[in-house]
Amino acid sequence: MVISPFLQKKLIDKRFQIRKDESVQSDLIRYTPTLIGALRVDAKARLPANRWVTYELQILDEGGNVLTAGLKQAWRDAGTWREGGESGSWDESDLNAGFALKSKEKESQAIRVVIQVLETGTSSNAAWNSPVTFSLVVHDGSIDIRYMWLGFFGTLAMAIITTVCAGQSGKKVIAKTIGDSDINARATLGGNASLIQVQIFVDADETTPSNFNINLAVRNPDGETIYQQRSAVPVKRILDNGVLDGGKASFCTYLLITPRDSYGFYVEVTPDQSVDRTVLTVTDNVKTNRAVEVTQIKDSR
Amino acid sequence: MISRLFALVTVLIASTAIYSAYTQRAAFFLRQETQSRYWPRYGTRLSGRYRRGVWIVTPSRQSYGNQFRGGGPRTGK
Repeated sequence: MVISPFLQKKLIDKRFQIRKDESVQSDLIRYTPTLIGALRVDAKARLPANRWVTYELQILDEGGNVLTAGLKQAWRDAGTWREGGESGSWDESDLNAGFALKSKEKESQAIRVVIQVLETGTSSNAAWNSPVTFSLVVHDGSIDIRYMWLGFFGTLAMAIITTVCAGQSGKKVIAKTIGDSDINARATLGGNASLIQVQIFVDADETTPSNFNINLAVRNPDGETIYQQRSAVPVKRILDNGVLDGGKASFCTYLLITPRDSYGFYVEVTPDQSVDRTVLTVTDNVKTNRAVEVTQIKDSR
Repeated sequence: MISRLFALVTVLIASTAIYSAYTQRAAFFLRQETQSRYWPRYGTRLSGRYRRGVWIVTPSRQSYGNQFRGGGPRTGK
């Protein structure tokens, strides 16, 4: 999309003044059909405000026979608006017409572009007979950028869907809450293709310190501790009119535990006097949007 | 699994868009009687069609009268 304007070759870029029932011819253009790209013929009626014109864009061959033609009803309306004390001006228009031309034949051919004005008028339908200015631009080697826009929005939609789905991925195998500072649970999870997300949430009362130490231990089916991690997590203070009312802390880590089996998760939060509630969530087979740090644990029983 | 499906769909969308744009399959093919994939640019209405290799204008173009009364939001019924 960005490079394509630079790869086109501009063949014609001219302005014409055409009166009603008159037409104007361009120079002969040599067109060589190619597999990629097409000949782009674009015309724009440069109308003053509140005028309209019906014009026809014709493509002729060397002998003057019409190869194709298209009608365009172009208009431009402008005015002022006032609404609720504010005012401004508006200017709407629909002025462009164009073709992208290709050919199934391989030989190079000469074509000519004609613009013919059929009708003109003002938006209140009064007669208007001034000449209309048209600009005609012909490019060779252009691509159809409308498909690129479709592709852009299509892939953007897929990216959004994928991101949203990643957040919902995985199976929550442990979701336990306790009104204390020590929590543990056991579930079958793991495997070498199954990423595990462990999340711990702590709610504390008004005597909360600024940091909690969270001790996480993972035990295998025999009860042996195969992994232990101690982390300090900061506490987000909850204030009530400037006075400390409570605190929240959260902790998240990613593990890869092999082989797949029943593992126990044991959590201790210290200092434990101010802990009101602890929540442990373990999700099996999660997918993440970004790369995360993963601790690999191999249980060699 | 579903993310692999999404990735495949995305690749299909992207490659179709690039192919269609570069080969300009929505262009007007000169001297072809049937235009199977023509997508008009800027709302330019074709004013005729091919019959046996010759461009014939439509009746409404031939009898071009005062059909169009101007566009835009301020006019019209």
